[in-house]
Amino acid sequence: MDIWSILDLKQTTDLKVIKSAYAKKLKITRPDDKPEEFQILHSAYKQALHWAKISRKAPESQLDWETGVETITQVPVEEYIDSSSTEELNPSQEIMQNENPLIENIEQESLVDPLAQVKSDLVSLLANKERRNNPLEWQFITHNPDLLDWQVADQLSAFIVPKLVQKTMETRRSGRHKRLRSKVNIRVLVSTPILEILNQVFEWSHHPQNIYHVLEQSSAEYFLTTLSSFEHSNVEGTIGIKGGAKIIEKANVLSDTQVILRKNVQFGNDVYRLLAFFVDQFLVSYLTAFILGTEFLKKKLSINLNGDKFLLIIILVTVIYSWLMECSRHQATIGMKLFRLKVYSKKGTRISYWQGLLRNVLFGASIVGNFVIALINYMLTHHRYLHDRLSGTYVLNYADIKRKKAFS
Amino acid sequence: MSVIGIDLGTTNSLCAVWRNDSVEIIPNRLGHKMTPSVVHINKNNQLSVGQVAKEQLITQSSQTVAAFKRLMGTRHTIRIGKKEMSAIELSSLVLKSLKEDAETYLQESVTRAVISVPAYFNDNQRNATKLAAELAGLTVERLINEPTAAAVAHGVHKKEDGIFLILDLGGGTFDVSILEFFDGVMEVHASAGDNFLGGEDFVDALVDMFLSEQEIKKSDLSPFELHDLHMKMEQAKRTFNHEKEIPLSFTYKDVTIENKLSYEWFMKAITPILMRIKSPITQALSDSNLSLTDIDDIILVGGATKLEPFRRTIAQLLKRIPNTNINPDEVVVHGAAIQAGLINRDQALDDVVLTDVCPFTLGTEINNPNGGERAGGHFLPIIERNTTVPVSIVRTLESAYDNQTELLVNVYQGENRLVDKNIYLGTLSVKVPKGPAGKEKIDVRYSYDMNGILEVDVTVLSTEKKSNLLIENSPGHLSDIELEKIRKQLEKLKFHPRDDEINRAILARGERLYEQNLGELREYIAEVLAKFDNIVDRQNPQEIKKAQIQINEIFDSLEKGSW
Repeated sequence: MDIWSILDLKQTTDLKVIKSAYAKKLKITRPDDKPEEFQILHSAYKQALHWAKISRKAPESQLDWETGVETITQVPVEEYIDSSSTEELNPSQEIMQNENPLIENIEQESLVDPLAQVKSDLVSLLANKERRNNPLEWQFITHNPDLLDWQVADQLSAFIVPKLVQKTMETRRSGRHKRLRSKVNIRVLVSTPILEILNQVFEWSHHPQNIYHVLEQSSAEYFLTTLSSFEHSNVEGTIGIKGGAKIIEKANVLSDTQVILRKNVQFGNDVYRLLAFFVDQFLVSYLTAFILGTEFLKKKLSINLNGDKFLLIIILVTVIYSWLMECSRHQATIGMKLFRLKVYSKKGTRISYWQGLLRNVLFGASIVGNFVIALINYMLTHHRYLHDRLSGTYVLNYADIKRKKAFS
Repeated sequence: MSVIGIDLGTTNSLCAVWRNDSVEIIPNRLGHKMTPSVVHINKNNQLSVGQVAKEQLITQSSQTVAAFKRLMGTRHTIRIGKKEMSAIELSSLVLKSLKEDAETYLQESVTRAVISVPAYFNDNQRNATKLAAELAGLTVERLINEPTAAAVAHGVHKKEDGIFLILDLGGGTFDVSILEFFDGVMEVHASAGDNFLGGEDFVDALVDMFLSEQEIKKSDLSPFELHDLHMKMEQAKRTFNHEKEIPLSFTYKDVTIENKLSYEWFMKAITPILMRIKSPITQALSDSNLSLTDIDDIILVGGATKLEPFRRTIAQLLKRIPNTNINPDEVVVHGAAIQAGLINRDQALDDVVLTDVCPFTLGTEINNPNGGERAGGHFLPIIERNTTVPVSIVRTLESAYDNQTELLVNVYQGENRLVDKNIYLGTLSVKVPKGPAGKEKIDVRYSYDMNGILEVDVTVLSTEKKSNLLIENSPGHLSDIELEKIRKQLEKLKFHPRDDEINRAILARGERLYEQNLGELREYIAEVLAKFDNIVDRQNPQEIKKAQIQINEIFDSLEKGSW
């Protein structure tokens, strides 16, 4: 169905006709009762309005102009104010009216540049590195009632922005052939907190076009990226609460596991971890047996290895080996690397040596614990084994972290 | 059975009903229209809400709490005496008190309500409000956006066509809405706002400025001193509407600071707050593709809009004088009551239809295929801000890597392209069969209803398995067991008997005045209070009534400083 038949209307550019047709239809398609039909009706209405507005602007639709002009729903501004103020003047409105000349005064003054003082203060402030990064020094701008006026603020913004962004050209010879290379350095003179304060006054992130007016492309882009680094941060304030003995922020209701889950990372699964374990065991026992088996060590240590002792030594070597490997920058033993597993701390970083030691001593103990522990581990959720849990570490699928998110 | 309209405000709450083709504001037990949103719990677990509690904000500040609406939907709790309570529980106490007042006034039980919330309240905050109502024994028929409510009230009364800019500056929040009326249709074009800008912030700014000038650290002040200063600044804020200079005396550690506050000083202190009103206005205008000249009238809503510098700034910004014909304190509750009447399908409102918007963008977290190292954490908008609601939009997404068995739909609200800077609302996880990347597809459907509550449905295309989002980990979410537990705890708190509410309000006020004053005045207040105690003990209703009026007159003149 096309939009006009949804609205029960002949194609028209008359906004008033479209609106009343929509109103009529809406009364029988209430959003509470028929949400889907309402959505269709509403989008048809919006399209019709849009079409009508565009066709009105087109030069060939002279005819439409003649019929449509009076139907614009706006009331001329001055007229409206007049009518409302003559109706009933309550005291507060009177105050406002009396002050109208005052507002005009401010505007007139702005022609003489009331900002001259502010501008010169600003230049001297920016010249001093310590002062310019102290939020208190900026009070002459943040607490300046003159800047409540859009025009004045924009005027000052155009003055301040080019001064905040410094662009230096650096040329030097580099590379093998000592070719002349030039590098452009752009930097913002003030620290981020200051920029944040100023952004509240000048609203640069809301009106990026203002930046492009006064800066060249590359500087403007750099400036806006710097701004966007703190834009829309989640503010949760406790400000303004009155009374009460204390305001307590409850710990994050998400457990660490849930936090990791939220990041869409997958835990290393049982099969991979078991395979990794076998690979490591094979390597460790082979090497240990090889080293212990050499004639030289046999003579030197003069020990007679029986099975139990040999097993204990292997466990000990395994513990030390995995401890060192997992705390290294690889964050994984050789076996784990093969199966793309990595060990992470709660914060998602490399684990500390103490954490690694605890983890691997527990790991050694669970090898001794044999089947019982293996069974318990198998039944635990998220493939988080006892030694993972007790030491507060995670074994995650390394491939997922690299290309972690779920969909595109 | 009536549906009541409630304006649950940061500083004051009101309650009204649509009856006999008009709005009636329901007076509280003290006969006032406004009930301060303040809760006091004494050592015997006895509870007071409203004026009585507000008077105790100074005298027993650790057992009294105000402005807790700001903590709605957050993880914060407040310790009051020995109890630890969340904003939801505190709000439910206020709602319960309003409900009782309504029941007394209407002579019937009230279980359904329309509650107004700031337009810019997010999903967590809206759910928290609903939960508070549930705890108070009220079913929420509709959450109505405050500026929308204001517009409804204005529109129904005036019956004038046109486009209106509604600025709602309450105690704690600032909302901007653009609304059009024609042929009984009220269409909201756009809403924008700031959840942390309100009347209270102006007072805080004055307190901070004063303290920094006196070189006193806020943390060094005792709760009593801080509240005293707060009250004085609150008073000063009002007085500056018609005075140019105000004397101020403030006692800090037994040293009295005598100071004169000038209008220039006042403007300087509040300018940073005033500057923040610009950006929501610009955003609302640009989102609705309108310019200032399209606006037919500006309507001011909320107690804080009475502030003269605010009105002046608005006039200066918009080059227009705002309409002030309606009472900014009561307009929101009017609108809520009208909406309640609409829900009851009241005949007189039959030809009125209201359409609202979703004021913020809702979306999900995705993997950016071109993102390289930083592929994750990108935000995919699904419902764009200021879309007309109810709305339901589907996006099809696919698995990102080979043999993926689980897809996580993380729900976020916000405007940033990275999810980390948006507000997290919840997670939905679906299992999919293994396969190469991109093979498995899921349909993610976001539905945003008239109450401003979001529902997420996910369908796995290959298995046709459907899942529905239960926002489990969002701050403020409670399980049924937890809810029951809280309900039981709240039941232990007993409201004071209604009858002596007025007397208690007077005594609490007297005690506050006693603490605030010194010397002879103090003795006089003590004398007056003792006399009043005596009269109350004699239990002669007529005598008590007479004494109540007398003592209130005395206190009034004391507070005006005309003593």
